[in-house]
Amino acid sequence: MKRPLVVIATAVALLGSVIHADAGPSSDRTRLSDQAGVFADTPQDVAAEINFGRNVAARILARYPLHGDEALNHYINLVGNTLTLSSARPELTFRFAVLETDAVNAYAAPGGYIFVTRGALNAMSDEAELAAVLAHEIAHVTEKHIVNAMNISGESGGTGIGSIFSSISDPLRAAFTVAVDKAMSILFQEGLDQQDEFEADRYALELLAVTGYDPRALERYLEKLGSRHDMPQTITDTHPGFDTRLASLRAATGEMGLEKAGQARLTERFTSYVHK
Amino acid sequence: MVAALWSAPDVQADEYHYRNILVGERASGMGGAYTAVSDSPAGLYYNPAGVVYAAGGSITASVSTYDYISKSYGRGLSGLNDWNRRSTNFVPSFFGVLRPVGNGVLGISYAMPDAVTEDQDLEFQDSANSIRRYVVNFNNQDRTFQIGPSYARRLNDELSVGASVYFHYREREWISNQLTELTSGLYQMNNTYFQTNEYGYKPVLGVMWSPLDKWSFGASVSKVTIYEGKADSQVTTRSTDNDLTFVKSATEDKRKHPLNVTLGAAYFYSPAFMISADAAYYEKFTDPIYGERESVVNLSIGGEYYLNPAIALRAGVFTDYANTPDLVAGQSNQPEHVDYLGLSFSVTHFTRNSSLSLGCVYRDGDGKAQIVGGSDEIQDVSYTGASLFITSGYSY
Repeated sequence: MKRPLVVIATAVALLGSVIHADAGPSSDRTRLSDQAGVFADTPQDVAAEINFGRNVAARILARYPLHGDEALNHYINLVGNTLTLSSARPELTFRFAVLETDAVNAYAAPGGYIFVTRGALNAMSDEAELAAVLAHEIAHVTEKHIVNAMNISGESGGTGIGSIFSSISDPLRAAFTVAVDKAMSILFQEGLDQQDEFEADRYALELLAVTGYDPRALERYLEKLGSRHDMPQTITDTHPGFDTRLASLRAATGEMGLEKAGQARLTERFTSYVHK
Repeated sequence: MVAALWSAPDVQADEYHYRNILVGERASGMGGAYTAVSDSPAGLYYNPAGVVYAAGGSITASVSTYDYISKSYGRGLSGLNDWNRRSTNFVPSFFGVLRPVGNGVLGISYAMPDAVTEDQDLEFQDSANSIRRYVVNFNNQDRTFQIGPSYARRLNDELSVGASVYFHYREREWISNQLTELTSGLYQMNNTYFQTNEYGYKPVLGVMWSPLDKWSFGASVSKVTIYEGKADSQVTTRSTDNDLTFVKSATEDKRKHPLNVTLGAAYFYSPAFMISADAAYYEKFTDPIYGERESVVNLSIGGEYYLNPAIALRAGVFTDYANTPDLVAGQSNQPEHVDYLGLSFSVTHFTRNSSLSLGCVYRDGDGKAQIVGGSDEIQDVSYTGASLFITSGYSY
C-alpha cells in the first residue's frame, strides 16, 4: 500500500525540480463566481460607491485646492461629459474639476469624481489630449478599479461601505475613514494594479475613437511626458513606466486599426481655455 | 442456535474506512479531492494552508447531509437468510468561518466525519433450522464530532502554511434485543448494551505551493490522538436451558488512529474550469480494541465547471478502501473487508455574496464479512451508500 504514495511523492518532487518558481497563483484560481463584476450592481452598491467617492473627492480637494477659473472647470466638464455619453455606466453622474497644482497627474475617485491638475493641462497641446486623459480616468471609474480593489459594495457584502457610511457609531466611522485613507494611498502613493492602468489606456483609446477625438492623443501626450527630464515622480510612482504604457498603447492602436485615424484635435478651442 | 446470534458491536463498519462522510461544500462535490484547492472554509479541514486563497473578506459555510447506507450480508443469519442493515442520518456535517486578520486568516470549523444511526426491527422464520421465530431489534448511534480553530498565513506569492487543531469527540451507543424461539417451544433471549465515549485531539498541518501559473500543490498531515476513552457493556442472556447470565464490563482502552498524509494537485485551467486530485495515505497500526489495521491509500479526482458565473457543476470519483486484511477461510471473528468506490456530483447557484449547493455522493462496494460470533462462516457483503447534501456559503 505504501508504493503508490512513494510514486506520487516522487512525481511531485520531479515536477517541482523542473518548474521555475517565478509565478504565483494566477487569476484563474479565482473562481468565476468570485471574479469582480460578474454580478450586476444593486442600487445600494451604486449609492455606496458614490458616497465613498464623494468623501475621497473631498480629501483630494483638501490636498489640492480647486482651480478658481470657473470657465475652465466648465470647459473640462463639457469635454468630460461628452466622453461619458459613450461610457458604460449611465447610472453615474460624472463631475470633472481642475486642481490647482503644478503636479502632472489626474485622479479618479469612485462614483465619477474626476480631477486633472493644472500641471497636466499645461503639458497638453490640444483638446484631444485632454479628452484622452479624462477618458483614462473615466475608465478607472467605469471599470471600478478602486471599487474592486477595495471590495466596496452597498450590501453586507464586501467592506459594507454603505452600511458603514450610514452608521453613526464611532468604530464604523473609524473604519470608513481607514477605507478613505486606503483609497487616497492608492491614488497618491501605491497606484492601482498595472493591469488596471493598461486596461484604462485601452478603454481610453476606444472612447476617443467613438467620440470623434484623435485616438492617438493619449500616445502623443505620454510621449511628451516621457521625454521631459523635469517630470516629477508623482505620475511614474503610481503608473507603469512610459515605455511600457506606450508599447501597450501602440499595440492596441494597431489591433483596433486606428493608426491612421485623423480625427479632431481641437487645438484652438483648448488653447482658448487653457493657455489663455 | 447460539450461532444465530450475531456479534453485535463487531459488525460496526465505520471503523474500517476513513471516508465515511465527505465534508465541505465544494469538496463533497469533487469527491473529496480538495487538498490542493482548499480555498473555502472546508479547507480548514482538508488543508488549512489553502484558506489564504479564499475570496472575500469573511466567509461562512454550512453543510447538512442526509446519509443513507444499506448493507446486505448474504445468508448472514443462521446460514440461510440474507441480512440487510440500513442506516439513515440527517447530520449537520460541516460548519466553518474564515476571517482575514493581518497577513493571515483565522478560522474555526466543525465537522462530523462519521455518523451512523441504525434503527432496525427484523423478524423471520427458519423452520429448516428449527427456528419458529427469530427477532432482532437494535438501535445504533455512532457519531464523531471535531471542532477547532485554525490559522493560515501566506509566506510569499507561492507558498502558504496553515494549521488546525480539532477537539475530537466520539459517542456511540448500541442496544440490541434478540429472541430466538425454537419449534420445540424453547427460546433464548439476549440483550446487549454497549457504550463508548472518547475524547481526543486532531492537529492538521498543511502547506500549499503554487509555483506555476495554473497549478497548485497541497499537502496535509493529520492524526487523531485519543487521551481518554471509556467503553461499557452489559450483556444479559437467557439460554434455552433457562440459565440467566449477566456480564458487565468496562475498559478505558484508547482507540488508535493512523497518521494521515494527503498529497494533492490542482490545475486551474480557467476561472470556469479546474480539476483536482488527491492521494491520501493512512499508516498501518494496531488498535488495542479493533486489532491490526492495514495501511491504505485512497485516491480521488474531482472537477469544477461553471456554466456561467451563477451556476457551477462539480463531479468527482474516489476510493474508500477498507483498512482490514482480506478474510481467511477457517478463521473466525475476522473484521469485514469491503472496498468502496464512490461518485459525487453537485450543482451550485451563486449570487454575489452567497452560494447554495445541492449534491449527492454515491458509493458502492462488495466484500466479505463474518457477522456471526465464533463461526468461521464467511458472508458476502454488498454495500450501497448515498448521501444528499445541501450547503450554503456566505461572504461578507
